[in-house]
Amino acid sequence: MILEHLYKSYGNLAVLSDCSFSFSPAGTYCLMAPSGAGKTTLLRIILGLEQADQGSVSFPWLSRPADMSAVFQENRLCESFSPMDNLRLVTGKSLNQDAIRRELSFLLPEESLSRPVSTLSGGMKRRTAICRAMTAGSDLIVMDEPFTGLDEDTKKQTISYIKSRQNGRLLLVATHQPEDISLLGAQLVTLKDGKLI
Amino acid sequence: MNLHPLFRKTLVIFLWLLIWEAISQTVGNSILLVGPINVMYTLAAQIPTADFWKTIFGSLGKISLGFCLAFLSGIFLGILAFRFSFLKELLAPLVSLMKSVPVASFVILALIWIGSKQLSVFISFMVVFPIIYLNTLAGLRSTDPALLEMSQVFRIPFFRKIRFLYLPSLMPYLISGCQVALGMSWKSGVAAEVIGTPAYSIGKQLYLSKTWLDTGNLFCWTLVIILVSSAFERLVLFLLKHIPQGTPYKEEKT
Repeated sequence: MILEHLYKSYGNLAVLSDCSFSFSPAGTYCLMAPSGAGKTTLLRIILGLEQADQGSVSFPWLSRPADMSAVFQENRLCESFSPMDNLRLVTGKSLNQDAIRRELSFLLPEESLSRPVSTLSGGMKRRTAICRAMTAGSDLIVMDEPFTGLDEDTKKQTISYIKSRQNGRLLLVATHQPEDISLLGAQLVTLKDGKLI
Repeated sequence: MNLHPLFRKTLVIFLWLLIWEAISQTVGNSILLVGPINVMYTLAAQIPTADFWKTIFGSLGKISLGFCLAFLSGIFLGILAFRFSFLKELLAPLVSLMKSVPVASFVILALIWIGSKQLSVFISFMVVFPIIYLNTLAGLRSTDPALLEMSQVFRIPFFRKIRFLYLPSLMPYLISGCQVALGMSWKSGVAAEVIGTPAYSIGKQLYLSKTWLDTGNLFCWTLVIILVSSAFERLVLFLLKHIPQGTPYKEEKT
């Protein structure tokens, strides 16, 4: 994924300023920056949810528009649906019920798979959102602070699941925890003064 | 006193009927006030006649046709207006007009345009359409924008998005709109019939009751309106509440 000369500002506040970077197609990257530095804005531009004032995001190794999946800061799950249904909503019939159950079982207790998401704990919801992002067919997986609310053991188990399901896809994780870089085996990318370094 | 709720309710209704009968006996004038026993006699005398049922089905058919047409076009245009803001702006003055113009003005105008035969279809439509249209717009607008962004990123197909993201937000608005619109359609539809007096209509029966000062008949037909409109309301709300709001898995099984 190539970011070329991205600019984004809100009024007089410049968030991205001539931001360029080249990500390798199967790479794992941890994006770090202080709060309010523009991480979420950059991720939203990459996901196509926001327009940059200038510049472009491209995937030169693809001859079609890139498929993306994401873990948002606020999970964005359908609260009345079960984890199974939330996954089915994005995968359609490309995965059958057993396959989805198997995927979720890596991260969630069996009895929680058919319960409405609204009855699950914050950590369980987070893992459902992570599982959804990993299960959806995509070229790029974007995660915005995915391990918030997970204890150390669960976090390690979740990272192990993410690595096993990455399957040569580009993974970009925004985080505040320096140890995530080594746990994910990722390359560090820092957003500073509106630029990626 | 620890009575069963249904028994208590029946007792309360019975008590009010007794009070009504007592007042009517005291007044002693069936033009001023007729009692419940007299109303029941009038109703019992009409039930076996073919005209009674023709009248009920005549009004029911027209008012419910107007309601259904307004319901379907309100949803259809509401969805289109949600999608195309130009259409929303185009329809805004029209909907505003339909909301604010008194029913009586519409009735007179409709009498000139279409005559009395289809009057209640038209009036029922005019009253119900803006309620359903505005509730559809409000329901669609209430869909969680965060979930819509999620669906955009994951490229959830259009119909799955409508079914599982928009519909659950729309339904409570639609049900609440229907609760208001159903009562309004009957009140305005029968009022239009009273003015237009089309053949085989409840409104005409009310008009004749006024002409002949037949209070018994007036009460009898009022009771019929309450019963028929309440049955129609229950049926529509039952159907609406039972629209399958499935989840992706249940959907696949069906």
